[in-house]
Amino acid sequence: MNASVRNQGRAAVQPVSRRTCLNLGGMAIGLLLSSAKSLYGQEASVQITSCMTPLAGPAPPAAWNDSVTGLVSVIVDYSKPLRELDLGEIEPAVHFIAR
Amino acid sequence: MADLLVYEPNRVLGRLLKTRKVSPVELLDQFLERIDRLNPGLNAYITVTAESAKRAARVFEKEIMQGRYRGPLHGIPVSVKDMFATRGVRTTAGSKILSEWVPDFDATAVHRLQRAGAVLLGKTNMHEFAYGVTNDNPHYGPVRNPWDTKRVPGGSSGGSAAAVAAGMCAASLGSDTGGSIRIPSACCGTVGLKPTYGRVSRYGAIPLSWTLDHVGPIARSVEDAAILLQALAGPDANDSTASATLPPDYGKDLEKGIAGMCIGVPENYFFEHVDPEIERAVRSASSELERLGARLVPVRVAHLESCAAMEAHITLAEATSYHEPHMRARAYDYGDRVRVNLEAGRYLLATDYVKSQRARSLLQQAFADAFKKTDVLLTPVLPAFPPVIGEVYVQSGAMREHVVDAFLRFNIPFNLTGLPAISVPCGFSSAGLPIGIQIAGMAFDEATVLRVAYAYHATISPHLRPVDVASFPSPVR
Repeated sequence: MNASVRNQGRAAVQPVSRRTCLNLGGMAIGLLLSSAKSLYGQEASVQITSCMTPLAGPAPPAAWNDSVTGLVSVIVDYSKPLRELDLGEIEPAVHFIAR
Repeated sequence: MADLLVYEPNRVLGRLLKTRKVSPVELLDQFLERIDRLNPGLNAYITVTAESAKRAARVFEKEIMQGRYRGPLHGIPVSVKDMFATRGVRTTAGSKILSEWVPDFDATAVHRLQRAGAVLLGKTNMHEFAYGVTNDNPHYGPVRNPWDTKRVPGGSSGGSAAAVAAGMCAASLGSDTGGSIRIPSACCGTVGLKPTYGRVSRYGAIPLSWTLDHVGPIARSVEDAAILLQALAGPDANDSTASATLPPDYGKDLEKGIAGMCIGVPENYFFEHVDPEIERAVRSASSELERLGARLVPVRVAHLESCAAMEAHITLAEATSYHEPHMRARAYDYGDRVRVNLEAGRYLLATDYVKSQRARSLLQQAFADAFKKTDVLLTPVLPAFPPVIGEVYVQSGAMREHVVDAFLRFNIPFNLTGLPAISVPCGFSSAGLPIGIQIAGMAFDEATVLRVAYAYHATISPHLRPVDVASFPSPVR
């Protein structure tokens, strides 16, 4: 989130901030999806987790970042068959029950 | 004579106890002596509850003497994986985070075993928070496989399986989220049953993934597993996912044989990338079932290629959610590998989690279609043998893969669908490592799964040798 966005009036900052965060988060996911098999440089993996901080909370310490982003990228990579499944009207297997 | 008793099935021990040829105190002493001798080398136990076990054994001895016999578990020494709450006894979940937690209640499963008269020997070592498959625990040390002490016993109920295999308890209570009962059972040559989701209450078990966690027994025989399941199963108001249906008598049809039954042998997924010795052993087991009168039926199950992703999205999201408070306050107290998993759970998409939960219904339908043609399915439990402690890659046939991917592969479909599945030893590799077959059935049809497993195990068990404890090295520091 750049300084000019942070310095806007409070009422204006929040919707712009959310869109900016979502865009940055989307870019991060896009980077993961497009680079699923590549080995990240430490700088790239830090960028991914840092820009998702507004959504996902504080980034892991630097020593953990490569392992974390590496694991996420592996999972994203082998999620392709799952993402291609056409589930039609199927509902989740886990249902909320009112009491 | 003393050492032979610790390897006897519960049926034999129960008869000796009921007829007062052995007292619960005498039997307990034999297991405690064995734990004293072997645990320094195997590290199967985190906490041994010798004094409370002796007190319980004395009470049960009196009851049996007075003719107040509770049933086949009366006076039988068992262990419990250290993620089940035990009143007054430290419950660590294999973690530093809970290293000082002493619950003031018993998990339902623990309470039911004790109500049946089982004597609690202690709490077994496990993979930290059940979040792994090797039982290489950074806080309490690795558990060693009794068949090759340089190797892992599998996990996450590795301490339980190692203890049962090495005669350090008569049976154990484990949990299974992605194979954690069946994986160590296959690695250690024990019988491990993951019942249907909801068959056994999860109340009082530290969760890994609420919608994938199952509770079940690890034992030396199929009959013992059935006895334990009988004690464990049933409704529980404390667990909203526990089935309200009362369990049947699991012993009633156990010895009925399998003539005329259909055994489904999958043509896809379950025999891909498997060590040739394991595949040979499982195919040989299927031939044995045919010799016993069953009919082998080839089946295909759809959508299995999505299982790995489904399991990952569900487990990581649910585990990260559960551990959020501890991760905020004490992330540094987690082991490295568990911490990586918990951190990664924050970066997966909610939509992938929901899609995974929806896809479970699709997978259930795929298995239901297969079960239209067959009574049970027969598969390998594992595609590879357990690695040396510290190694994380295994050879699954021609494919080298991470031990987590390998060990989850054939197990997770039955966690995702909630279907019952049992691991039964079927022989040994040329290197002397146990091999397990998996028999899976329809929801709440543990009776059929046990019946097929019993018929097979009765044939194979004379050829299965107990662990040679004389070959254990001195305790490894």
